[in-house]
Order: sequence, then C-alpha cells, then structure tokens
Amino acid sequence: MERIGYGKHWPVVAIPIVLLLVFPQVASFYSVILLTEVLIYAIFATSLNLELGYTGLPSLGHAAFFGVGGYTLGILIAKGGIHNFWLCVIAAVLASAVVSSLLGFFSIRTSGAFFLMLTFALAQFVWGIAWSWRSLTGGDDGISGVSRPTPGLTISIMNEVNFYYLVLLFFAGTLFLLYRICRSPFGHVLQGIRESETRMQALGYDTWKYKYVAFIVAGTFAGLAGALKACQDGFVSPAYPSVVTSGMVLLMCLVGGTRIFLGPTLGAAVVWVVRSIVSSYTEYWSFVLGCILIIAVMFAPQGIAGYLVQVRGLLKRARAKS
Amino acid sequence: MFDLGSLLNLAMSGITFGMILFLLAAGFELMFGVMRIINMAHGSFFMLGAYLGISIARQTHNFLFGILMGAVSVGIVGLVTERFLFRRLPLHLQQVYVTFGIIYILADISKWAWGSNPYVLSTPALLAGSVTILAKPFPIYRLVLLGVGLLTALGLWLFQEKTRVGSIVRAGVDDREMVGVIGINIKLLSTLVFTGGALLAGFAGIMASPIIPVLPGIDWDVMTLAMVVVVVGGLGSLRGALVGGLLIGLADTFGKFLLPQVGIVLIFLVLAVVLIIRPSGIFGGG
Repeated sequence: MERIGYGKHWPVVAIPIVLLLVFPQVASFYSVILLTEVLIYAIFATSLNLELGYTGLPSLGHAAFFGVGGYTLGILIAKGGIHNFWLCVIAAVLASAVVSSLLGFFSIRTSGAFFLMLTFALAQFVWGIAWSWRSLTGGDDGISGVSRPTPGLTISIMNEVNFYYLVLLFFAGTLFLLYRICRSPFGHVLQGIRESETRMQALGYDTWKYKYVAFIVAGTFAGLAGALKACQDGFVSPAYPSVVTSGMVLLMCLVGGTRIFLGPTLGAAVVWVVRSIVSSYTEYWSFVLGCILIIAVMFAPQGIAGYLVQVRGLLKRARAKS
Repeated sequence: MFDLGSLLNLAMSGITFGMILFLLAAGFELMFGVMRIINMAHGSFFMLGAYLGISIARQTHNFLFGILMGAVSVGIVGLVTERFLFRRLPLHLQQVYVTFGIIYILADISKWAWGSNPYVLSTPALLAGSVTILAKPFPIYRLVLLGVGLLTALGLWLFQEKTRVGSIVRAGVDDREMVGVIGINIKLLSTLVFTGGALLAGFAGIMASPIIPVLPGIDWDVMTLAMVVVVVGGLGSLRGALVGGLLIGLADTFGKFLLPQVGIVLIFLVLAVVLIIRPSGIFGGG
C-alpha cells in the first residue's frame, strides 16, 4: 500500500483542495455540474474500494446501496413532503446502513466465487424491487419532483455553485473519514485479510466481523453518494441500483487503481468525463464501458494511479543516481 | 382460485421454467468446475442464442434449424472468447471482470441489431396447441421443454459418468493441475468445456424463447436467476443445478402469482433460508 503521510506530502492534499475551491469561480456552468457529478461518484467509488482494494472483497452489486440512498431521499422529499436537507440525508444514510447490514449478513458468510455471485444477485433484488414496486418507487418511471431542500443558513442549493460547494464538503469529509479508517488498526486488519485471511484468523482475529463492518461502512457511504446524486438530478430511477451503475463504479476503481487511496477518485474523474463525452455522440455508452473495462483489466491491471506511483518511483531513482 | 387444477398448472409452469434455469446453470457449473471461471456473461449468451435462433428460424422457416443454429452460434462465440480473451488472463478475478465487460458489449450489440421490441419464436403447429390436465389447458410446448430438460440432464449425467471425455472433465473438476500432469491437454479441455457451456446457454435461450419474450434486459434477469440457482444448488454440481433450477423456477412462478408486485421476494426468501442452513448451497461441499 502506498503511504501518503500528512507531513511530507502535504501538497498532494493542499493543491487539489485549493483548485477545487477556486474551480467554480473560473469554470463554466456546465463544467461545475460535471465536476459535482465527479465528486459524487468519487465518494461512491472510494466507498467501494474499502471493500475491493483494502479488504479484497470484489462486490459486483455496490449500486444497490447507491440506489437505497437515492430512493430514500427521493421518497422522503417527493412523497413524504419533508424538506429538511439534513434530515433527508441522514435518513438515506441510515437506510443504506440498514440494507447493507442485511445484505452483508448473507454475502459475508460466503467468500470467493460465492461472494461475487451473491452481491450481484442481491443487488438485482434491490433493482427488482425498485422496478416492480410501483406504488412506492414509481416503477420504471422512477420518482420525479425531488426538489433540493435547503441545508439551513438560508443558503439555497438550487444554485449549482452552492450545491457544488455542499457536495465538495461531503466529498472532503468522506475521503477524510475513509482515509482515517484505512489507516487505522481496523484498516490494517482489513488489508491483512486481503493478503491472507487464514493468517489473520490464525492470529486470532474474527475476520467475519471485520469484513462485515467494512461491507456496512462501504454501503453507507455509497448511500450518501446516491442521496447526493438524487438531489442533483431531481429524480430517482431504477438506473440508480442497476448493474450498469455497479459496473461503472467497479470500472472507476479499476481504471483509477485499487491499491492507492486516491485511485478511485482519479478513476471517477476519468470514467465520468469519458462517459459524458461518449454520451453526447452515441446512445451506446454500455458498449464503450464494456470495452474500457476489458482493456483496463487486460493491459492496465494497476490502474492509472498505479502507473503514476511507478513513474514517481522511477523519477526518484533517477534523481538519486544523478 | 386455489383448486387442484390451477395449482398443478402453476407447478408445471414452475417446473418447466426450472428446466430452462437448469440448462443455463448446468453450462455455468461446467465452466466453473473445470476452469474455475465465473462466467458473468452467461445470461448474455442466453440472450444471444435466443435472438440469433429466432432470426435464423424466421429466415429459413425452419424451427429445428433455428434452435440448432441458435445454440451452435453461441458455442462459436464462446470458443472465440475463450481462445482470445480468457486464455490470456491468469487471474480469476480478471476473468470475472472481463466477462462483466462482455455483458455490456453484447447488450449494446443486441440492442443495435434487434432493437428493443420483444421477440418470440413461433412454434410449429404441432407444438402450438395445449393439452387438458385436470380441466386446465397446458401448452404442449412446455411439456416438450420438460422432456428436453430431463433428457439433457440425463445426457450430461451419462456424458460425465460413462464417457472418457466425461471422466477427464470430472478429473478436471477435482484437480486441474494433476490432469495436466498426467498428459492431458488442459488448454484443449478448457476450450471444449467453455464452448460446451456457452452452447448450453444459447440452447437454453432459444428453447425458452417461445415462452419468454426476448428483449433488452433479459440477459441480466436470467443471469440473476442463474446465480441464485447456482448459489442455492451449490457450485460445481450438476445435481445442484437441477434441484436449484427446479426450486427457483417454482419460487419465481408462485412468487409472481401470489405477490404480483414483489414476487421477487419469494426467491429471496428461498435463497436466504438455504444460505442460513447451508452457506455453500444444498449440494456444495464444505
């Protein structure tokens, strides 16, 4: 695992933060919306990476929790008439935590091939409920009229720039928390499980519990991302918990690199910008997604961040020589 | 509503659907057993078999030729993907991701080629009618499906137990490396098994198409059910595929009948109960 400490590598954190803060003041309206989406997907992808990269649990159904978060917020606002932003977001996050602890209970009992198949199938159940339970979820039409509630202080987040800053706040908070989790003793146990679960068991760790908690934490943050996306879109549809979304977030992690904390964030930016460009030319985005996925797996298994780290290592060695 | 005739009719529908799930899951199990590959694109092979078979049957006005070609052409697709993609990937997880990618590609290719209208294979007049069982009409084609499913199960069993290639396959399931050590071409075996598994998926798709309309999204739907069948039945066991297929086929049919809005819940319940009692499936080892 690449270590990014606070002390020596402060520019790695500080420069992007300044850039992200200044961005809406200089960029176009459209690119502010695009970057807001990137930040939301970065939360989503980083949450998946806690399972995929740190614990070695490749979930094929992470969109289920994204969907639960989105639908909870959507139903509360559009059908429940609740217009308190914080209340809705907290409810969405709690709902995803509950659903992920339920689905995790079944999937964490299994491992390897079974885990892959179960996460996939369970997410499809969530999708199936969103699709067919018309009276609650609106079926394939989804829920529209999810107006953005005010977060207090008389700030309206109907304004895209204000909404961007709100999402940036959540993005920074999520990444900080997940980073602390990954670097905590708990996170080190997760990495130990990834390398050798039997060894961790031999050391006396109850690995089941660790994996279960990681699954729930990942699902909870995915729910936060879903709630924010529903807020931004103003509607929720079965596309939220769909396999296409699961595949996309998986692709974000793989393209960015799963062994580096900021890899999925980088992947989210690359994949979402490519998606936006491709979608403006053709409706066959899935085809392109599949091709990138195969190419990334076959030819760039380390992801972009993995190569960046390699390049940095080469530069260091070159400097040491000269 | 709950007389014996209707109940039997529902059960028969569930069992015939279970046969389709068995065909699908059997190919999946075969691939996993020998190659340890989790073919997430199995549902896409199913869909492709149905689309190709229907198109060929319509062009040639020959029902049986359509069925044959639907299965064979998907077998060829399987052969090509195994030969050019999977053989190059050493890690199982990479293979899973690649099969995941194939789903998206085949989904868009099918949408581009066949659009989003449902396709149904029309059966010849001989199979189009229905017979009366306990005063309820039951389609003849479903009976044919039942027979085909059982025959395939018998054929696969005989193949595994009585033929030389079958015993190599069984040996491959038990210990892949050892089979290679005793001088059997394991690469050729993998290619054969993957082709055979894909062929079975395509066969399931085209056989199902007279009763299940083919349209975008069916790849994910049947894939989900196949996953559940495999998890319930246990990995790497044909017996598990048969029993799991029947269980899930029945749960699906009765679920849709009893709880039209959330019928999927019944399948989830079956899955949950099995997983709590036997975490590795009914016939899974360990």
